[in-house]
Amino acid sequence: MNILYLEQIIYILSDFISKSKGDFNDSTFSDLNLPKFLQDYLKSSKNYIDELTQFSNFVNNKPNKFLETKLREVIANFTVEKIPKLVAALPVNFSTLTDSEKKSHIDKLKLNSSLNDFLIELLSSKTSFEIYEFVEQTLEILEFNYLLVRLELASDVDSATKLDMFKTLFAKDSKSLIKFQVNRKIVGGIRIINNSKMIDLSWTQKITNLLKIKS
Amino acid sequence: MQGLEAIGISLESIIVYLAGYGVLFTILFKLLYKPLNHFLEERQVSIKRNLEEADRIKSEFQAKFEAIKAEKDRVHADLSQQLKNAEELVEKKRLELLSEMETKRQEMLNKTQAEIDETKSKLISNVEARLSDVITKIILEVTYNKVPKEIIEESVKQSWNEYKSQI
Repeated sequence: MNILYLEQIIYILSDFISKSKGDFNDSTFSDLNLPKFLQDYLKSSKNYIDELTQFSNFVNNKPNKFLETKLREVIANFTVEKIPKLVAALPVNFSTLTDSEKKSHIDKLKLNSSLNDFLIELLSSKTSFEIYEFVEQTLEILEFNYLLVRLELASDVDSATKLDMFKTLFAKDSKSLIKFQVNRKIVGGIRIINNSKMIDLSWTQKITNLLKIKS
Repeated sequence: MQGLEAIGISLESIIVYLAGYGVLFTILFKLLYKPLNHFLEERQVSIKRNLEEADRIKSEFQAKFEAIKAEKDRVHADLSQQLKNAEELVEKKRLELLSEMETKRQEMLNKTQAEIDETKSKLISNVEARLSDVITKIILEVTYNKVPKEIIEESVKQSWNEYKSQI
């Protein structure tokens, strides 16, 4: 699925370049529903054809050297931010909902770019655990050094709160892969774990601390 | 003279007597006095020589005795000194041994005390930890099952706000 995702992006980008005939403006971007990150890329890149070719060869496993390209960077940045953000916007028990309920939640996300069919398929068919796994594998293929941040919640909370959590943590480090998990064992509060440290604001920890002070 | 004659002593008789005595004395002198004197002189010399020899021997022995006494005193002093040194050495060794034994005893006591303290501390820690675990489990069990969902959700938001206020 990781390769399919990258192939999808290559297809969307090449299709846009072909249909727009190199005329990149707001009108063509809007008409062809090019994802925002690819729009920004095309606006700022002069070697998009070369980079697209290199990236295409790499994805197709052709024997050429995979160079440091801006295209790879923007895809990695999109992957590490957008997909976990979509997961955060959905309820934790999303995968257990009925199709109609899933559709209702996805509609609220207001996805409308040409990549969204793929994203909807991804969100609908996979559990959040599988989606995070997909993101990690994709980032590894793209040789992207990300910082894994695990956010354990005692209970699922509303999407607005989770998005706030996501944005706040992502703003601290734009290479963060932020994972939400519900952990009933912490009873209340939250626990934030990254590679090297843990911030424990859980009830379990608070009770333990209280007992320590008492003894 | 008449008075002497009256008592029967005449001059001639006196002379005869004197002559007789003279002869007697001469004979005695020649025959008795000289050998006796010679003998006495020899005896005196012999005695004197013997006394001198005795004095010499006495002096000699006196010196020997004194040397022996001095040697004896020296040896005695040496022995006394050695004995004293030996006693001091023994005493020193005894004190060292006592000190060493005391040190070792103290070390053993300290070690034993440390082990006792450590074991005690571990026991207390273990008991405290287990007690804490049990209390934690009881509290968590109660809160896990009894706290309403809304309160837990609220706790998540509160913790998040607490986190945001820290960064």
